Amino acid sequence: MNLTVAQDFHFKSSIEKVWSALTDSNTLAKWIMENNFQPIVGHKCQFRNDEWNLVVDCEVLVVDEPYKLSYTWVGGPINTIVTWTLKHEDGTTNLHLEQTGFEKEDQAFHGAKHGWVKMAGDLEKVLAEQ
Amino acid sequence: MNGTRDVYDAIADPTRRKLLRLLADAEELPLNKLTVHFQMGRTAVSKHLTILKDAGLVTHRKVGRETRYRLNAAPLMEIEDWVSFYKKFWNERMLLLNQILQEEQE
Repeated sequence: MNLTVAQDFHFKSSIEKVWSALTDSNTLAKWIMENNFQPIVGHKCQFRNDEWNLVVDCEVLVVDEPYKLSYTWVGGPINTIVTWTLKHEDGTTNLHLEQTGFEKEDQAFHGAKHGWVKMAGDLEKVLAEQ
Repeated sequence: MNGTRDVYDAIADPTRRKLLRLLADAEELPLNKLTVHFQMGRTAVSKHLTILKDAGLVTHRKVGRETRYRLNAAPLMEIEDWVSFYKKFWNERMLLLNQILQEEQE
């Protein structure tokens, strides 16, 4: 069973530019969701999209500029950790994403599973329309 | 879903995830073969197996005096749905990020 989402992405931009896009609240709002994120270990924040009725609670775990960023990502019944690893090589910035789930037993697990599934369906629709 | 317990709840615990991995590698296993992999005793392992059974993730049958346990992976499909949801979610987000970075380049 696969409880990790692992994906690699490649960008022509400098590692600093990619880092900035991952950590700057205004930029994050453009490509993930509205948020009050700050790249400070221990900072607690939320990503939210009212249209999708989606709220994700985060706590920043690792800030190693510009190489590694990690935060909890808790939305609906699922408790996960999102970790970004950056590496610049031959003019390309490699961005590795790992999202691992179910590492903690937490009251979030007992919550609204059905709400989450419905939200996922709505989000799929929104993404399909884009 | 035939289980009475939430699948997420059942796999939220590392002991139970390890039990599922052990059962995934074998066709079926009795309690004592499972217990040797843990620090805890057979009663504690048995309690975790009951939670997995309630979630429909494990089935069991009696063979003589022994109870043998077997993985039933079907409820894990729900988890697979979660994984594929996030794969798609991040791929879509990355397209937007790529656009933003390219605009900065220009």
